Amino acid sequence: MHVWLLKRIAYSLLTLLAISVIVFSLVRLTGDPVLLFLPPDAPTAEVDRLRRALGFEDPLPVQYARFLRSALAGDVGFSLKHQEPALRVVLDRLPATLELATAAMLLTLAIALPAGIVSAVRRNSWLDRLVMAGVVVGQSMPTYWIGIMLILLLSVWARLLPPFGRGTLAHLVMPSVTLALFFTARIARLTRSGMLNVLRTDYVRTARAKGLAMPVVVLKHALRNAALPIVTIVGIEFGTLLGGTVITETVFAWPGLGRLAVDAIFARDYPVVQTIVLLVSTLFVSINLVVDLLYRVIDPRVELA
Amino acid sequence: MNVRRPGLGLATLVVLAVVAAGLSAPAVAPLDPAEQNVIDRLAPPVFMEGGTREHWLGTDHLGRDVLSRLIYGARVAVIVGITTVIVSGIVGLGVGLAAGYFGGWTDTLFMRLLDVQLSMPFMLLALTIIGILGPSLRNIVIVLALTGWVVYARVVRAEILSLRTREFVAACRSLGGSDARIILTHLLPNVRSSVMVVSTVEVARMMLLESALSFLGLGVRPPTPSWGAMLADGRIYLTSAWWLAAFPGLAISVTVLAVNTVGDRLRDYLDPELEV
Repeated sequence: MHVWLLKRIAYSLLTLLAISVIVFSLVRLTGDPVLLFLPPDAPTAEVDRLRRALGFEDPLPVQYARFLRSALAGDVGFSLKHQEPALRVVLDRLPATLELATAAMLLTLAIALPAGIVSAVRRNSWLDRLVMAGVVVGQSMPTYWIGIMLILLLSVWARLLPPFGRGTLAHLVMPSVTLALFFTARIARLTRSGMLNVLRTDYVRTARAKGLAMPVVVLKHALRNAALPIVTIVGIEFGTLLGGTVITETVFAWPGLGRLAVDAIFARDYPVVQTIVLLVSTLFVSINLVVDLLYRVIDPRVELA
Repeated sequence: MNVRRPGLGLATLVVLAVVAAGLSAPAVAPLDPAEQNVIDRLAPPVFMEGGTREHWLGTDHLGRDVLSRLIYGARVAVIVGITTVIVSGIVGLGVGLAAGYFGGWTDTLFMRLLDVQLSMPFMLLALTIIGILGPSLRNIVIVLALTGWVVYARVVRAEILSLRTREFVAACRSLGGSDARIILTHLLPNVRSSVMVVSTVEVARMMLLESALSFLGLGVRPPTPSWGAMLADGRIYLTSAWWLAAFPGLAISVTVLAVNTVGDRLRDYLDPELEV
């Protein structure tokens, strides 16, 4: 167990290291990163002076080592647009995104789990067909279109909810529904196929044969075993959810990471972009580590080699 | 497969119609999609009061014909969907074959790479890369292919891992067959059906991603009409001309739904166990 844990943590760190190399290289894709700090008409002498001052003349490995060292100390650079350290700009926006992602995830679970279970238990019934049709439709509609149509229906026509911004609970409704839609479809589908696999097993048949009621069998015997892949997917999807807020936040002018990232990309404010990518990746890798550990707790049989 | 299952015929028809519209847009579109007409701007669709037969689906904020723009938009969707799937399919197939067949450090290397890629927020990365390189059809295909290969690599690798222990592979090897011969004549044909299913589902996903990039202003450059960009433009006129945002979204949804339905049936028929 301890060896496995150490190995697993080492893998996570290695992944993060590789990600940091990619994030570091991204800005070098722009050609001359110094030009980002200066107005387009800056004199050549000024460009050269700044290039030396910022250390862009050093060999790339040296630059990368410097980048990594300061990133580990929490300094990913300075946001020229906000005139603040990039990390502070990003952390200011993190709560809004976490709020949105959590609401969306709760909504997803509240709909997807019951839908997937019922659909598996009543396989081929009209309910199952309805759920599966909903799943395919949900996975086919672009998130932003759903968002805009919700705004049209509920804000412009019905005047029930505020079309954008953050503040009250009413502001949270449409963005979280929009964000949840795609994931609900995915997780409902996975819950259904997971349950179908378990319902086929001998111990479920035995439980039924000894006279237990179907709800008991489903909830006590089947669900517990079907939970394993579902937990994994939910963990992975939460990370995707954090990345997926880009579009939802843009549609609803939600002041979170996604919108900040889009604004920063257009403003060429790369330290902020780098910080967001690093932060979201770190969250994602950590969540996956925790999910792997949970795996062990839920099912002690799991081989952790 | 139950061919008579409802929806399949219709879905196939929709897919064919979109592909045909995309490929022959100049011949099919009733009007020039770029022609502006300031006097006739924000005209409603034909079924609404004030709509005319000249513009079936109305006109946008510059007086351009919405129907013609939708037909030209199909072009971008079809081209991006198909080229990205071909590029990422070839890369993913190659990686999956190599990782699954040779195992060892090749496998470890590719699987680690895959882990790294899956740990990064794709949408952000795609936006950043396109923001840096500039939006163009080529860059969009590159960025989308960069995310797509992972799916193929995973599925193909898993299949190869079980295939390579089978008797026919051992038989070929004991008869002196080279690695290339085993891969090309014995393994490749056996992963064909999974790759086909994955490709279909991926076309749908790529179309959605392309429209999302265009929606955020990082897709193909205007004035080339793309569904995502049309939607983004139409969004501003939501209160006065809702159809500008509604129709492009409907076009994307119906197209992607049709492709997904075909993919679903294809899976039921070719490879029911496959989870994509």
